[in-house]
Amino acid sequence: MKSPSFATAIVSICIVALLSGVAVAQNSSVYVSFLTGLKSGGTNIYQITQGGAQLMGTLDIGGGGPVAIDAQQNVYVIPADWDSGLYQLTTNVYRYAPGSTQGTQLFKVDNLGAQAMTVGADGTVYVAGAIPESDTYVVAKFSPPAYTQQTLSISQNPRYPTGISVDASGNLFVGWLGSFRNIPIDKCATGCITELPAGQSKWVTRLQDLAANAMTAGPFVTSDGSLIFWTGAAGRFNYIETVPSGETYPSSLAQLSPTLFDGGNVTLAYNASGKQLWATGFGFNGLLGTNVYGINYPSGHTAISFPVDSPSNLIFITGIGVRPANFP
Amino acid sequence: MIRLSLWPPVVLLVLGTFLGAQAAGPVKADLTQASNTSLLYVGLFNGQTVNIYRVPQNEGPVQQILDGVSNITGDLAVDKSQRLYATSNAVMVYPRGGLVPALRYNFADQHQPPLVAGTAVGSDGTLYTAMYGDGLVAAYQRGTQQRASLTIPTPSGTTAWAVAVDAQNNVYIEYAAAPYPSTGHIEKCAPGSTQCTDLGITLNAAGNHLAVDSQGNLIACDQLAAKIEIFPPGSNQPRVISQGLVGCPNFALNASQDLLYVANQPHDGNNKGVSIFDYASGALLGSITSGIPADDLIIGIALSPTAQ
Repeated sequence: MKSPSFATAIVSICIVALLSGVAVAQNSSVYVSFLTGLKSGGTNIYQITQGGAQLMGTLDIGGGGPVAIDAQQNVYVIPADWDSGLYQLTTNVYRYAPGSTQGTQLFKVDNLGAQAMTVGADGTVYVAGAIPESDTYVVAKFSPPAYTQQTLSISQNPRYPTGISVDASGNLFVGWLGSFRNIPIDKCATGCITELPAGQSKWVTRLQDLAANAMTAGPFVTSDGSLIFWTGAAGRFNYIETVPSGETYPSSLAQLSPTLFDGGNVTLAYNASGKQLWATGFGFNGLLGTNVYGINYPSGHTAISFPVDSPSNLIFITGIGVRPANFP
Repeated sequence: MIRLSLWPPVVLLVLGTFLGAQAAGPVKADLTQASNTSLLYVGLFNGQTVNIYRVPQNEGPVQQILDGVSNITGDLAVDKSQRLYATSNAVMVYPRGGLVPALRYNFADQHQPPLVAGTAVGSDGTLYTAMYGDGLVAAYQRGTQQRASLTIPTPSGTTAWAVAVDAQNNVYIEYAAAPYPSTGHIEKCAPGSTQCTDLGITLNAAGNHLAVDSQGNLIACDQLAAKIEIFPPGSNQPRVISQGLVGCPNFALNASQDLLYVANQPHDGNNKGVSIFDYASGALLGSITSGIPADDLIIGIALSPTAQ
C-alpha cells in the first residue's frame, strides 16, 4: 500500500482541525437491530472511525429486539418473535463475544416481550417489557448461570419502558413513557423514571413527570449516580437531560434540533468514554434510511450521522448498542 | 484506515456532515445563571409555548419553554425567587430561565379539568388561582400543592377572571359573569379570609390579569375599552394608559415599577405584540413583536424579577 503523500497528510490534518470539538469516538462499534418480518430481523454492525461509519457485518441470529452490551463488551440481542398485534412474544437472549458475529443462546422465556435490556457487572440480564397482548408490564432479571427469571415488578402502570440501567451497587432504574392512572395525581402520567434500590423490593419514583416529562429514551446511570435521559415531543423539542444523584432537576440540558426523529421514539446507547450518546429512531420512527446520530455528551452537538443500511422489507428499528459501552 | 485517494468526495462528505451538524447544534442562551438580566415571558396559546426575552434589549426570543406547556390556557406569574408559574391546565413551575418543569399544581381538589384564568403569587410563596370554571379563587400554600388552604367564592352569578395579592397578603379578585363581555368588578379580601369588600370599581369587561404595585395602586384592564386603569388606594377613579392599545388582557410591571408591559390584543385575537409603557406617564415607549405571530393569542405576560 502506498504511503500517504504530503498533500494528503495536510488534508488529513485540515480535516482533523476542522472537526475539533465534534470528535468521533474511534474504534467503537455501533449495533443497530431491526425488524424485517414478524419472525425475522437483523442487526447491523458499524465500525466507527474518524472517517465515518462502515458496515462491517450482521449478527447470525438476526435481530428485532433491544440491544445490550456488558462490561466485557459482549453483545446481547433478541431475535424477532412478534405476533400480528406487534407484541414480542418471547425474550430469547443471545450473547456475542466481542467482535464475533456467531451468537450463543443464553436463555429463552415465553410470555414476555423485552422492550429494554441491560446487563449488570455480574452478568445479570435485566429486561423491561410487556406480556404479549396485554397492558401488563414486567421488569425482570436473569442471573447466570441458570438465568432463571426473577420478576421484579409486574404492573399495568407505568407503561412503555424507554430504557433500563443498573449501577455498580445494583440500583436499578427504568424509564417509562407514561401511565394510564388518574392524570391529576399520578407521578408518571407523562413519563417517569422508577428505581428499585439495591437489595430492596419496593420501587420508588426517582423522577416524576416533571424532569422526566415527555420521556423518550434512557435513562443511563453514571458512576456518580447521575441519570442521563432523552425527553422530546414531536416537532417541539429534544432534550438530553442530566439529573445529579439525589436531585430532581437537571443540572444540564442539551437542546437538540426539535425535528430530530420528529421528536418521536428514540433508542439510545452510551459509550465507554462517557462523552458520546448514539441515537436512532425506533418503532415506526425507525424506518428505512433513518439516521444514526453520534451525539457528543454533554454538549449535544452531533458528531456524526449515517443512514441505517437496511433491507427493503425493514419494518422498524428496535434497538441500538455501542461497544465499548459505558458502565457505571 | 480511510482511503485518502478518495479524498475529494470524502472531504466534501465529511465537511458537509460536520459543518451541518455544528450549525444544527444547541446554541442557546443559558438564562438560569444570569440573575441580573431581566426576563420577559410571553405565553402563546396557538404556539403552546412561552417565549423568553431579555429586556430591555429589543431582540427576539432567546429561548422558548416547550416542555410542560402543551395545553397552555391561562396566566403567567413570577414569584420573588424568580420562579415562573405557567398555566397549562395545571400550573407548572419553572426555575428562572429553566426549560423543564420543577413543580406542578394539579388542582386535584378542584373540579376536573380545572380551568384557571388569572394567577398571582404572594410574597410568602402562596399561589392564588382564579378558577374560572368554578367561580372561586383558590390559594395553595407553598409545599402543599395538592390541597387549597383557602377558597374564596365570587358573588353569585359571576366567576373569577383575575387575582392579585399585595405585600400584606390582601387578595384582590376581579370577577364578572362568564360570557364576554360582562361588566367586571373588583373586591378586596383580608388576608386568609373569605370576607371581601367590593371596591366600587366597574370595568366594561374584565381582563385576564390584575396587579397591585408597591404603593397599593390597583392595575386592571378594561378589555372592552382597551384601557389599562390604575386605581389609587380607596379610589374608583383611575388613571388611564391606553396609547395605541386595542386590548390589554395580560400585563406585567417590572421590578423597578417604571415600565408596564401590556399584551396589545383585542378579545378576538389579532395581537399587536407587547406594548411597553412608561408606568408613571403612560407614554408608549415601544413594542415587541418578534416571535409573536399576529394570529396567535397572547395568553400571559410575566417579568423576572417581578414587582413585589
